[in-house]
Amino acid sequence: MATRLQFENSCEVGVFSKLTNAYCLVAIGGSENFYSTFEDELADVIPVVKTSIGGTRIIGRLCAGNKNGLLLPHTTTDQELQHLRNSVPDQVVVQRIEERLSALGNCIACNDHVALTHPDLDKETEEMIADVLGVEVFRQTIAGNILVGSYCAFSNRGGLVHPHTSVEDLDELSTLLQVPLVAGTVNRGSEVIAAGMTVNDWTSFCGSDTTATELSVIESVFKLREAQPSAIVDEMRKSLIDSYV
Amino acid sequence: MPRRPRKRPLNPRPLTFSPFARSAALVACINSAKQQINESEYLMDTPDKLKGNGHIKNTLEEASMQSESSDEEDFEGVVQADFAFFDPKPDDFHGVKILLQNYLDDKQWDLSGFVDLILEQTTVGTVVKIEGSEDDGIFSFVSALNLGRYKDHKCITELMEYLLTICQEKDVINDLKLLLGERACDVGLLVSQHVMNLPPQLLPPLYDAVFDEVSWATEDEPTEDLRSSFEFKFYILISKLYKHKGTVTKSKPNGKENDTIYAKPEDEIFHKLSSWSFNFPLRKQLVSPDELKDYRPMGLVMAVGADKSPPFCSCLGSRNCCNECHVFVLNFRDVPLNMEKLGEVWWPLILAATTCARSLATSIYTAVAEIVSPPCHSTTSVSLREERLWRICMCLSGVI
Repeated sequence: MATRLQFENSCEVGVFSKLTNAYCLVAIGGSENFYSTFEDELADVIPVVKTSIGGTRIIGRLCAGNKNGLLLPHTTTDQELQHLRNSVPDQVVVQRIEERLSALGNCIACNDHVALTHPDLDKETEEMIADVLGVEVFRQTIAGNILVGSYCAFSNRGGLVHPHTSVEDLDELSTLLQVPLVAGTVNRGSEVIAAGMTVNDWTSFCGSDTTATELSVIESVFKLREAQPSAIVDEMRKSLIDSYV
Repeated sequence: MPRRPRKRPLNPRPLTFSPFARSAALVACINSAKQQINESEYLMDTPDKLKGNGHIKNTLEEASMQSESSDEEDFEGVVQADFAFFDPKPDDFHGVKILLQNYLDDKQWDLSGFVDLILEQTTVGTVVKIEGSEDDGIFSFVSALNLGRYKDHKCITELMEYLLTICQEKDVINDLKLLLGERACDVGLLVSQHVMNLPPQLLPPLYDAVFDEVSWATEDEPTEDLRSSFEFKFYILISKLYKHKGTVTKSKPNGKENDTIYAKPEDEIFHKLSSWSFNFPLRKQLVSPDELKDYRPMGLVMAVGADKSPPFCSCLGSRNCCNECHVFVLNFRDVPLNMEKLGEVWWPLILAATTCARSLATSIYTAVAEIVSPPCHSTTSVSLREERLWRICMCLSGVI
């Protein structure tokens, strides 16, 4: 289910939060409303962690993560790093990396299997991403924009990209990511998808300016209507092989 | 009209309205490009009133403000900006919303709904953009919303509730309740926001535009209800100012130490003309520039009678020439006075200063008086005209 909310009168929810299948990070300093909306949806299933990164609240744009790991920029303080290590589940590897492009959330878009990165990222960082996040890394652009982390948001079930992405690009990306993709907007026509919303396999949070049309597109492409958290988080993916003898 | 300041490669001064703001802004400007106004022309298209459909197309265009850099500064090149005034359109949503981010401090309210109201009212309201630019950034907007007409909208009820909660002054709260309650139909919320570095030359036509549109709307709107909804008796404004923290320190020898700096320069004039006003503390931590670190930001709400809009406009308009007077005087401060210019320069300057706001005028007179120098200190022979000029300046500045 997709929920609409605001962070202190700002609709850029994806800037102040980071949602994955194993944990959720939320910026400190917002009203309790913001935090409690996340708690209501997620409390029983995954931990909701209040944090800052490098003393700032724009945590969604500074870090990149999935259920396997969390990558933090070099500006993260030691206390914040320790706090995050303590708060996220044990199987999640929390790693601080030295990368010139420190807004990792803007440079890296990932789900649990694939990651798209900024074309100018260091080779070392790329290896780190593959290692910590356990994903296959592709250097890509989206509609000519190099900040792939800002202009698309995808989960294991679907993805939403910049509205000006051409059909060929859409097909190419869809093949790389192995999920259905749709070009659309969030927050009443804003093209910066990942800043306006945050998503995982069963739920999504969007800015309150998001129109009903945009919300229905999000719910359909990310397949949020039928999703149940327990089935996915517990990784009960029974591969049913029917053999007819 | 005083002679416009000549191009001088001297220390340029930033354009601000009050003496202290001037010195504060000067510090901020030290590293930025030096700009000198060579010319600014106002081109006004005659507004064509379309009686049939009740919409007034009013496009005021501001010709380019040219600035040249001086040698020492890093920034080289000419900045040319053609601002154009447009009617509000639904596409302006994001720009207007950003300008209104902190309108009601940190209160969570229906800001999107409020912006929608502003953009729907195309008859009264103006948005300032760069002409022909693709990225469509909004530099300023102004609008007047009738509180009674929109009182059922969630954003307006939340806004009125907010005003009533934050008003801590007993003598004002009753007036406020009256304006928001029984007399809401006669009250217009004057919403005006602009980016901090908007050229001040744009403000007089902007405010002229909104007040003209209000008066045209009273004649041109299709229904009687709508026509009467624009017959405002009062305007309410919500804005910000900076008050000097702590105790009042010893007064400086030159110039006046201002304990209030207004976030928007036109607010000073509104405040003077207001029937009542009150301040309220701001809860949100706002980033303020270093020069203002001794100042505490506070909110300001004021009610201005609608009959005060003509004097406001003329004061604002003359402020522009006052700005130029001020710049002119400051530029000439270090230069030996050429008494031949007395008739051309100083007298018109004094006359122009008489139309300015009190504090500004006083500082201009004082500056002129200092330059002219009193007879007793002067070593050269002093003409009668010079002495007369000095005496007049001293009288006007209140020293004598």
